[in-house]
Amino acid sequence: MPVDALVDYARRRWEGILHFLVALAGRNPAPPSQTIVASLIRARVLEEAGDGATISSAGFQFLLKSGPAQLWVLLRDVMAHAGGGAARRAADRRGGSGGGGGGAVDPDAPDPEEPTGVNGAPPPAEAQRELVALLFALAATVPGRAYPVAALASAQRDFLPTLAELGVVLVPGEADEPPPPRGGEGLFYPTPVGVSLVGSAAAASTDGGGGGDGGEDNPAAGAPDGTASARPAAEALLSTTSTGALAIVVENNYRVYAYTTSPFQMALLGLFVHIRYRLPNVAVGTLTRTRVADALANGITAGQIIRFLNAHAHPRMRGGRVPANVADQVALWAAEKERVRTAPAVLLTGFAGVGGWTAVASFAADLGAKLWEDREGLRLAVDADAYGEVKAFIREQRIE
Amino acid sequence: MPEATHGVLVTCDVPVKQFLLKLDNDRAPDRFIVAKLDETHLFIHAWAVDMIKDQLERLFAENQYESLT
Repeated sequence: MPVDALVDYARRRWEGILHFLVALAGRNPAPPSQTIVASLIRARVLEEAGDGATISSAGFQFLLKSGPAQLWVLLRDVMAHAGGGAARRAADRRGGSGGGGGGAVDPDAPDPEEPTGVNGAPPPAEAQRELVALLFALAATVPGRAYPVAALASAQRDFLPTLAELGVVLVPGEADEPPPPRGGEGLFYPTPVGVSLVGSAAAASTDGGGGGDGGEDNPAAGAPDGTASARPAAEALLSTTSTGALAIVVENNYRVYAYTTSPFQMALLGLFVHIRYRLPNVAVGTLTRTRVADALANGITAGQIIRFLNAHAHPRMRGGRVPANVADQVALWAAEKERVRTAPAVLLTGFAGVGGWTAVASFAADLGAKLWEDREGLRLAVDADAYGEVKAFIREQRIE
Repeated sequence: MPEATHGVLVTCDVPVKQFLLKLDNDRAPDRFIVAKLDETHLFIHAWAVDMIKDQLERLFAENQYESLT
C-alpha cells in the first residue's frame, strides 16, 4: 500500500475526531465511535451535559496542542481503560461470530497465547502490557507494508479497531475503509503516524503535559534540551497529522488569511477569528474583540492564540510572525478581563498602635494571607479563608 | 481590639476605581463601597460583586469600536 495513501488516511481519521470536537457547537459531522467519545470524556476534553457531550475549556486547549500530544492524550486514556473495553468487545465479537458462523469454532480458541480468564479475555493488567508492547512493535515496522493480524495477541487484536479509528494503523474493512482486496484478509498496515508514535512520546509528554489534567497553560512551550532528539520525529508527525497544510497570513489590520482546504482547520480558526469569506483554498477573516473574548471565556489563553498563529505563519509573511500590534492587542483584550480582580477578604481596622498592627501584618504575611496593607492608617486586608487563624492570633497575643 | 469587616477586596486600575465611585454615588441609598482604601483598592460588600462585573462589561463594550464591514 502506498505510504501517501496511509498518510492521507491517518490525517483523515484524526481530523475527523478533531472536527467532531470543534463542530460540536455548530453542524455535526459523523461522531467517532463510542470508545473514542468515552475516552474523550474521561480525558475531560468533553463534558457530559444533558442530552449529549459538550466541549470543555480543557478541550479548547487540547485542540491547540500539537498533533502527537493530542494523540497521546487519547491513547494513554484508551490504554488505561483497555482491559474492560477489550473484554467487552471480545465478548461482543464472540456473540456475533457465534450467531453468524453457527458457533462451530470460536475464532479465538486455537490461539495458544489466550489465557483463560472471564470470557476468555486476558486480565486488564496483562492486556495493557500487550498494548504497550504493540505500540513499541509498531515503531519497528515499515509504513506501507502489510502485517498479519494473526500474529497479534488477542488483546492487541481487540485494540486494532480503536487504533484504526485514531489513524495509527489501517485495517481494511474497519473505520469506513473499503473491505480488503482478495488475498488481503487478516492484514493491517501501520501508518507513518503509528510508526513514529513511540519516538514522539517524549516530546508529547513534555509539551502535552499530563494529558488530561487540563490545567496546562503552556502546551507549546519548548521542550527541555534532554528531549531534543525526540523532536524531529514529533515534527515529522506534526506535518502528517492535524497541522498539515495550514498557512496563515495575519496583517497588521487584524485581517487573517488562512490557506487551507481542511474544514476542520477553518472551524478551529473560527474559534477566535471572525471568518468572513470561505473559498475553496482560503478562509478570510478578522480577529475581533468579540470573537477573541469568546475564546478567552472558553479557556483559551492569549498566548495560545498567538503561538498557534505563529506556528502556522505563512512562509511569505513578513518576519514570519504575527505583527506586533496584533499580538499586543490580543494580549490587551485578555488583560481587560483582568482589569478588576476581586477576592473575598476581611478588613481589619481600629488597631490601637503600630506595634499590634505590625505583629498582625507580619503574621498574615507569613501565612500568605495578606492582601493589602496601609501602614499609615493602620489598616489591613487579609484573605477571608485565613481569617480564622488571624483572629486566633489576635486573641492569643491580646493585640489592642 | 481591632475591628473586622467581612467583604470583598477589589483590586483595579485608577480609571476603573473612578467608575466604581461614580456607580456607588448613582446608587445612593444602597451603596456598596465599604471603604476606599487607596488609588487601586476598594473594599465592597460581597453582594455587589456580580453587579459591578456586569456594569464594567457594559462599559468596556461601549468603548470598543466594531467596524461594520
